[in-house]
Amino acid sequence: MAKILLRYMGRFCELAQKPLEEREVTCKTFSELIDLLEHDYPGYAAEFYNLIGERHECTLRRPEVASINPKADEPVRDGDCYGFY
Amino acid sequence: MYGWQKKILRVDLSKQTASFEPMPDEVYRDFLGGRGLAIKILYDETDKDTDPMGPDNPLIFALGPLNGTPFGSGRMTVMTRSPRNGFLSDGNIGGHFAPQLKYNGVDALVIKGISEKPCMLVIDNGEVSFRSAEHLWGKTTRETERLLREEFDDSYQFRYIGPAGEHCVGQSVIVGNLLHTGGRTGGGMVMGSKRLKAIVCRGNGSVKVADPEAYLKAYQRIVFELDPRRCTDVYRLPYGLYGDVSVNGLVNEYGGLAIENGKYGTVGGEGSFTAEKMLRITKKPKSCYGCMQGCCINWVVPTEGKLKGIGTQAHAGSLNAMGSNLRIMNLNQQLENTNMCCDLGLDTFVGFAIAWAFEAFDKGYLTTKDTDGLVLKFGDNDAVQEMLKNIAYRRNWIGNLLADGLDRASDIVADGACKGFALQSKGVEYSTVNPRVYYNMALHYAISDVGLNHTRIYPPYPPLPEAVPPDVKLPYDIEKAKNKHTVDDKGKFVRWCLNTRAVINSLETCAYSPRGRLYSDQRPYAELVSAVTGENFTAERLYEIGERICQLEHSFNVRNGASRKDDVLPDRWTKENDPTSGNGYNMVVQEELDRMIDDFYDVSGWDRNGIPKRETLERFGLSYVADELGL
Ligand code: SF4
Repeated sequence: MAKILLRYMGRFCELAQKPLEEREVTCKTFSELIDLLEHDYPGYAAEFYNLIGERHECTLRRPEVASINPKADEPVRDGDCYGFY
Repeated sequence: MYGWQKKILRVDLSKQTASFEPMPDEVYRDFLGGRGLAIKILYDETDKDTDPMGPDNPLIFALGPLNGTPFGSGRMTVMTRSPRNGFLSDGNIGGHFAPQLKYNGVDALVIKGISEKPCMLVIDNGEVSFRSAEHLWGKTTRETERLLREEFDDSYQFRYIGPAGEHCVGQSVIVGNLLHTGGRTGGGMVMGSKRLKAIVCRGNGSVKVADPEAYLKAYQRIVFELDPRRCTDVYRLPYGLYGDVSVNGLVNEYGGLAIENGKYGTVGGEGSFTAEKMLRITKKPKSCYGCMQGCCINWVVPTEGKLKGIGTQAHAGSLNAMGSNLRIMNLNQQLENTNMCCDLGLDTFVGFAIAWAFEAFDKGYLTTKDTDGLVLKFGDNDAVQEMLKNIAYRRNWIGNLLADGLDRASDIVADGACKGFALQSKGVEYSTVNPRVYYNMALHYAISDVGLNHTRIYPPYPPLPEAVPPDVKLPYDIEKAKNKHTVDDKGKFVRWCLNTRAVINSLETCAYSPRGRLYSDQRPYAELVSAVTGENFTAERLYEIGERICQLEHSFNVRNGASRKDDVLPDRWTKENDPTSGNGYNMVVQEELDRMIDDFYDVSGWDRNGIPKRETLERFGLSYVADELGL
């Protein structure tokens, strides 16, 4: 179980109908997180990915890194903060 | 005559005279128009002894070949020699004024002289007249717009200054349509020094297009590229839907905002500057003439606070500079502050001068004796608004000092002890887009000919690989230029970006226009300008013109004393580590900045002191400039 923060900006805010939420998730990787969000907010994955999987922005903030763009196999860790734009 | 009018309008405010003069063909061939035309006029008509506040310094409003045609061309260059630093002042203003000016049959308006009394210039279908503006002097920009609208019907467009411009405040701007501003690097100040309160313009002429069918084809290609359904630019859709404020939430995530005089790059939690909150009070994005994106400025109507029920503008960098940068986290207060800036005719990035004073006060370098009893404290919005008035009206010692610019103020207070956290370069305040996050921006800010102005390399990162057509070769490696942890290819990228943006500014279309594939591929623009003018332009030819313009602009500064000594960043970015702003070191490492500057000079054909080499200038047909610089 990882406790993470999700921030929904721009159109993702409209999809999720909220600007942010804290969640406890069991998914192991970033791509599993997208699957979870797709399940909860239908259309999320299609909105996020382009053909090569990086059309829209997701930033991942962790204490030891100021920010990175997570790739599909990035492990999801306790305390992560994801921002979708 | 296609595309260009090949004439300029000269105005002498001292003598109250005006004349239309032809411009030679080769100027258009070599400099395209807009920003290119402006620097050609400015370079040729000034010298190192021209007093920026004197009658001989021209204030130039320049138009490009695309102005007045349907393609996103409400933009206009405003250029002059800056009283802020003696170097180049260049800005770009949107709105609806530019086409009206072009329909008067001119490509530029060149204003010299100083009016004896406050005046307004009226340009009406090729007729020029001068009217008293004494009834407008002292009025805010909102009042000025209203009074002008009472005097002139809806077919006219206006550009005006507010009280800040009248008081020749360094951070003053030229305003139009209530919310479009430009000239923060000295244009507003020069307009004030000429006692020119307003320019009123209407034109019934037209712009002839050489090949309408080819124009339509090129236009449709650009519409296709900018269609949000296929445009690969992540900002295209959110900007169109919510305005550019939508980016602030993302920048907060990146650690790219300015918080508390740029000490930090992010605030936790939802923040108060997010587009999501803004959405609820946004009425509609305000578009410039003919723009198919309509994305930069939102018209918002706050539901509470002093502006309740009154419309005002919302713009990303402005809300950051006048909001979280001063620890003002309430959205309505942020809007009050940016609205007050607009009303006073002040650049919203004056927030960095005020934030510096707050920090100096906090550290004990300024006291209530210096501020007429005002306590300067981050988060105190009344103090922020008092300071705005102090600066705009040069009301007291601190207001007057900051109105002269942050560079001078930080030299004087405590004998320069606060210089390190004065976020300025070449006398021009920071305009957001954090150099600790983007190394490209760090380099650009250091070498910029107009001080800290982010718009000259927008966006500050290379295109997505997928957005580069396979037959386009870029002069840098995308992956290296994108990597914010290394210095590699930053010099090459910034040179390329400056050149291509100079083309955009000289066509006079918007810096926001080259999105998706248009960012790396200027062929559609070449087709468009060829169709408009009947001249054969290729992307390569445009690129060469872009670099010629940049080389002449830089030579203008070199003639006025610029060299490597001026290409510096404040200590806050080079010595202070911000763990929330994310490149590899959380700061700009000076040795790395030096390397990037070396690379940039090399790729630009300059020596290591930042002086163009003779052969470089000759390559662009600028040997007369090399002669003048004694190269
Ligand atoms: S994108 Fe925005 S700034 Fe640019 S022309 Fe359109 S409305 Fe104006």
